[in-house]
Amino acid sequence: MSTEPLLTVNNLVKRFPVATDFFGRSTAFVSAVDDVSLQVQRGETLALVGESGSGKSTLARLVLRLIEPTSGSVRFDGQDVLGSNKGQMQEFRRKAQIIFQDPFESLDPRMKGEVIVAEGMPDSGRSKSERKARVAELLDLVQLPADAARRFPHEFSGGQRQRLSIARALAVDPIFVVADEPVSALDVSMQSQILNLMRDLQDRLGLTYLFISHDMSVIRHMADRVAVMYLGQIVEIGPAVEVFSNPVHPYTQTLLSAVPSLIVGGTPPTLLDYEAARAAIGACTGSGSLQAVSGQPDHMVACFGEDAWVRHRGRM
Amino acid sequence: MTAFDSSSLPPEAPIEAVVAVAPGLTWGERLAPFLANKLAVLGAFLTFFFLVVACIGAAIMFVPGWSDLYIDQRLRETLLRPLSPGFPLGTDQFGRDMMWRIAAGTAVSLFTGLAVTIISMFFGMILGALAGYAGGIVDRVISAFIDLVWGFPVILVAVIFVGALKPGLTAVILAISVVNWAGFARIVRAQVISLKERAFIEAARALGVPSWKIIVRHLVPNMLGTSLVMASYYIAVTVIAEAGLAFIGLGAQPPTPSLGQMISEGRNFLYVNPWVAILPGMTIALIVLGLNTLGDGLRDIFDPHLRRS
Repeated sequence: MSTEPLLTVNNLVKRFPVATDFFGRSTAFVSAVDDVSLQVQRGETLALVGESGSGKSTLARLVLRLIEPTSGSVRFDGQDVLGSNKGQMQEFRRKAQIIFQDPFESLDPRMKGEVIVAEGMPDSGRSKSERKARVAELLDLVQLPADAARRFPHEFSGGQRQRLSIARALAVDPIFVVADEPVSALDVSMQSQILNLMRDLQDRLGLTYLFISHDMSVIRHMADRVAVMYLGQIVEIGPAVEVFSNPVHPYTQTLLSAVPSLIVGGTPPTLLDYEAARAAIGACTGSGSLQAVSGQPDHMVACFGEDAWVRHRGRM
Repeated sequence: MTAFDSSSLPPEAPIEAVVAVAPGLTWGERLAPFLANKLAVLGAFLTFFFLVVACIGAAIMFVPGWSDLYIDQRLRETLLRPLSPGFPLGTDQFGRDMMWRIAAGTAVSLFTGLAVTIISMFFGMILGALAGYAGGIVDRVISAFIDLVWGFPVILVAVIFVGALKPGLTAVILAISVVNWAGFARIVRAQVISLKERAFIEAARALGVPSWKIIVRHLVPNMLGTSLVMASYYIAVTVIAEAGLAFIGLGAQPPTPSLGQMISEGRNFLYVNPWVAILPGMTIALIVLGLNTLGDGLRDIFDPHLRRS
């Protein structure tokens, strides 16, 4: 196995226009993802954590090129994703998959289980019976009963729907799976089942996960490394054990202190007054802003002004 | 890790009963709101009745020899009252049997309605889906085109088409279609925009499913309900538009009967023999009433949010 990271994201920026002038030109932007750089090693689980609106999901969609970034680069398995042509993208789509948060939204209500699971399978090169066999194999892999193939999404529970989503993603034999809040719509007993299934699949298939969640207890269960996002930037990144035991950035501390429920002091600034917010917390901008925590080369944190942060979000 | 608990699955889910209309309901449950809506049942009945009438009308128009029934001008008594012996709906100023003429006129009306709606649905859905799905500059160009077309009065377009082609049903069908597709395109565009944000579309994109396949597999089936409801309204609107154009002489040309044309001719006897104009007028009204109430009922099936309480 090569030592090159499976995924390398450099200076990724995504700005959404929020106002346009008479000629349709954008005059104001929101920076949903602002100059993010990170790497994901093969076989590991990198967790992205942050409150809603912090840009986690946008980053996930950028990495998979479901939306086009404003600037930056994404390298995946030796491939320049953003510079890929149609054929290369097709190859990328087979290797990188996504599981969504809402199991009710992520399955077409008009399709049966087998059609959903087989959606990504290539049309050619497989006979009908081979496809059926493959579907059965995948359903078994995610521990769904065989008759799930003939059921419609509404006939499943939330957890079963999520298993179906996982089966659909695994149908193309991916090596990398983005899980966008995969369990936050499920009740707690289902959560642990799905999380255990995901870990089990990771071991068996050698998957690499980019795992997005706002729930620190879920992250603690899943992550090898943690990246904390706030206002579109990564404010702290490091090994999970290290970040959990020694959170440096006040935002990380806030998140951790709020386990299991997320009660952050103050209100998050809207991304619209983002510049003001960044000025208020006194963080440096630019890719060089992450600095290693002393004695911990893997543990990086964005610089920040302690007093400004307290004024910005308050103390919990 | 706990074993999968199959008891949480509904034991004997009625899989066969689930079709691609409104998932999650059996046919009985799905039809319940429709049947509860008495007007919708009346509408369905009326629509069915006029479809039968139209079939009979089409038969007498196209079966050789039968056309005597509505164009023949034998030396019959003119302007017979309805319920006269042998002529249930009376005769017109040329002694033609009103009943067969109305049947043939209904066939012309409904054919025009169907033809226009199929044509405008086809182009409206393609262009609307394209605009909604592609977004950006494609959307802006198509939307501008839609707004431009939607602003044109049908009569103006019809006059242009009749001038360019020759007066007749073809010109009328083309003229109404040219305007009506924009109505479909607007609704379809809006639907596609809301559908494409849904996660299952994004999942399909992540799987590398090509755009055309996403449109065919996901978007079209999910819009079918709305389109069917719209279609029923648009047929009604077209029937009225066709009658209006026929009234001013732009529609089907004699001897092909058309309801609008019959009203126009009957106008001359409105004070002495009103049924010549009133009977085709009532036919139009009942066709439109039937289609509209049927559309309301269909909407109740497909869109639970708008269900009557």
